[in-house]
Amino acid sequence: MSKEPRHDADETEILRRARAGDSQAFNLLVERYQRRVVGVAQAVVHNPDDAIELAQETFVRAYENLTKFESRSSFSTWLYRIAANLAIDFRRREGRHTVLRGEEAETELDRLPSPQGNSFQETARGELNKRINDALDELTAEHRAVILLREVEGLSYDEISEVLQCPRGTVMSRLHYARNRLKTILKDLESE
Amino acid sequence: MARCEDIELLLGPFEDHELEPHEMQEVARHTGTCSACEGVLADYRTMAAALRGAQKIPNLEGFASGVMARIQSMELPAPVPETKRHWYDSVSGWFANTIMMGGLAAAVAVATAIVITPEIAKFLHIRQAHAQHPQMVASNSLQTSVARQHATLPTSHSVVANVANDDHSPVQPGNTASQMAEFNYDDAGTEISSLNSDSPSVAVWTAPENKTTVVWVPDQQP
Repeated sequence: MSKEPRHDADETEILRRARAGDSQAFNLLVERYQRRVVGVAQAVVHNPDDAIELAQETFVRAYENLTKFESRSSFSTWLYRIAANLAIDFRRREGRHTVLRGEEAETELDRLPSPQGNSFQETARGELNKRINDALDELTAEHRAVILLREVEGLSYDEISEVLQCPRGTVMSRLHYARNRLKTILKDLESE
Repeated sequence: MARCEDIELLLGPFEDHELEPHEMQEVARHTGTCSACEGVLADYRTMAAALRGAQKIPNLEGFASGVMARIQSMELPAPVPETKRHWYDSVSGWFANTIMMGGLAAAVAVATAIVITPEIAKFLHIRQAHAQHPQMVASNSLQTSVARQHATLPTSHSVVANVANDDHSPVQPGNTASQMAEFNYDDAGTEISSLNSDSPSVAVWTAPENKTTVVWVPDQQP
């Protein structure tokens, strides 16, 4: 189930201009992909601040190596791979196999904008989100990255395989494990 | 009808539309009649929605301008314009091709020399030997065998090789085969029938098509 690289005519033209040194064209690419690049980095490091920094570094590296980009894969997948590699290196360097645990997670949640109206539903949603993030922290970084790239970023199995540089079969088995593990953890949290 | 255990691993990929068409049909047929597997699919959908809702989307205001400012402040070299790149590509391509072809030719020359040189030497040996001792040519491969066998013997053994032909004409060891120079030969040559067969280490090679026999006998230890 391989996919052909996706290059619409518009993107091809923007890429051509960016390669020719047009910084405005590169700025368009940054704006187009910034959210998903941050999302990919966040899927690996599970920390928004670190993800933002890593995403910035991703675009700088992409700019430096723009002439090396060959159209064998799509530009977006190429970007996501840079982001994932940087995030994996960062996690290895920092020794952050899990981020936001216990009190640290509580503190981080307190920094979130307080929900307007503070209705029962919003409180319940906040509680659910906290449980889900706690459950994600229980997963290994590899399993968490795969499930977030799939469910949140909407990447296909082939794209995840390319971005994380692991076989498609590994993506499938990690995803299966992560889904069932999350289900179990969430059920345990509910029963507490 | 597939069993739940067979379908379980396919439920996630089914939900993600990542199965082959025939697998999609199989899972759809199963979940249409299996409430347990349909429940698993529903759990997956709920979980996906919850995951999307739980992810804090960072504020990206000013992100792009921050990236561009960083690029400009680092004074990175701008990507090489396309027209120049084509020129570089063609020149570097020409150099790369030339170096690659040269390297390939050199490798072929070295390989050829390694393979052919011993064969040439052998051929010249044979021609020279043939000119001097026609019988030696016929037994050349046998001489080599003798030499190899000799190489495995303890040095305390000296080997006497006797070459006899049906016409009983002695074969003189020539200087055409360097290996043979290590052997001591009976100048007169000896017929097999006259050998002392009591020796425990007599070895005989025959080449009937050349009417040639080579015998080696290690000296007895004193």
